Amino acid sequence: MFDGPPHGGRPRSTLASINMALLTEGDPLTTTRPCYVLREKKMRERHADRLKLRFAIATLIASAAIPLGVSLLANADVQRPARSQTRISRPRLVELRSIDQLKEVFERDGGKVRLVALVSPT
Amino acid sequence: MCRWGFSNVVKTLKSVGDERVRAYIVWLPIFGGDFKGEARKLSDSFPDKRVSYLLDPESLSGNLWERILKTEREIAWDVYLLYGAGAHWEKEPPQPDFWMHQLDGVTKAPRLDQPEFTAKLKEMLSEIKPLISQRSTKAPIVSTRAEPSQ
Repeated sequence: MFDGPPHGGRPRSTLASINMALLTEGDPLTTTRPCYVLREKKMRERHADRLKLRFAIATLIASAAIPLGVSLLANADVQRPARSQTRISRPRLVELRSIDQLKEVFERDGGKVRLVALVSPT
Repeated sequence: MCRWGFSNVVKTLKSVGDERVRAYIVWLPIFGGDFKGEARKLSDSFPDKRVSYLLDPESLSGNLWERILKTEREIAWDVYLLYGAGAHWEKEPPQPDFWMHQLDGVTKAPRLDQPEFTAKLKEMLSEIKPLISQRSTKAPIVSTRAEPSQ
């Protein structure tokens, strides 16, 4: 049986009423709440404050970043040079093992003007 | 010298964006050094879908074209050849319709001059019948339905 707080507070009859007393804020009967309850309350408040602060920072960043991003994209469209249709990402460099390889491409491209350059890269 | 020749070919191809041009840049190991690495670098410097880059470590192409061009060297190199649309490679490649070189003592063709080379390429392209005029030779599509009598 619970006989009340050790320092002479009002006695309680049931465990439920004790819990209520511990968790209810502003109740004069809870002035003797254990410190962990207060610590938890403070932590919750700090956590809420941090969330508010983070939300405010995120809003601020988003409000600045979105228009900036939109403007960058819009400018990129304008400034990007017209890409030639003939451009490719990386050309193939084929090692010639037989002259027939060259003959094959030369004949495949019949009907076109063909340019052959025999050069040294060094 | 050869890099200069390649840069002139690049200039020519940049100034003639025509899709009816094909170019074969064949890298030959004339001066040694990092032949493959340099060939890769130079090839990467000008990516163009009309261009095929070929690495020829055995100088097969140089030997072959020497028989055609007769530059009086072991192999033909530093040469820039143009073949018209009608050229066919039978047993050996045909004589080029136009060519230039960067070789001393060769008088069979002019020395490489990029504006002249470009002008010749354009001229050869103008000789190909454009697709539009080929289309226009076809009979026009007209309605054969008889007009209703009044």
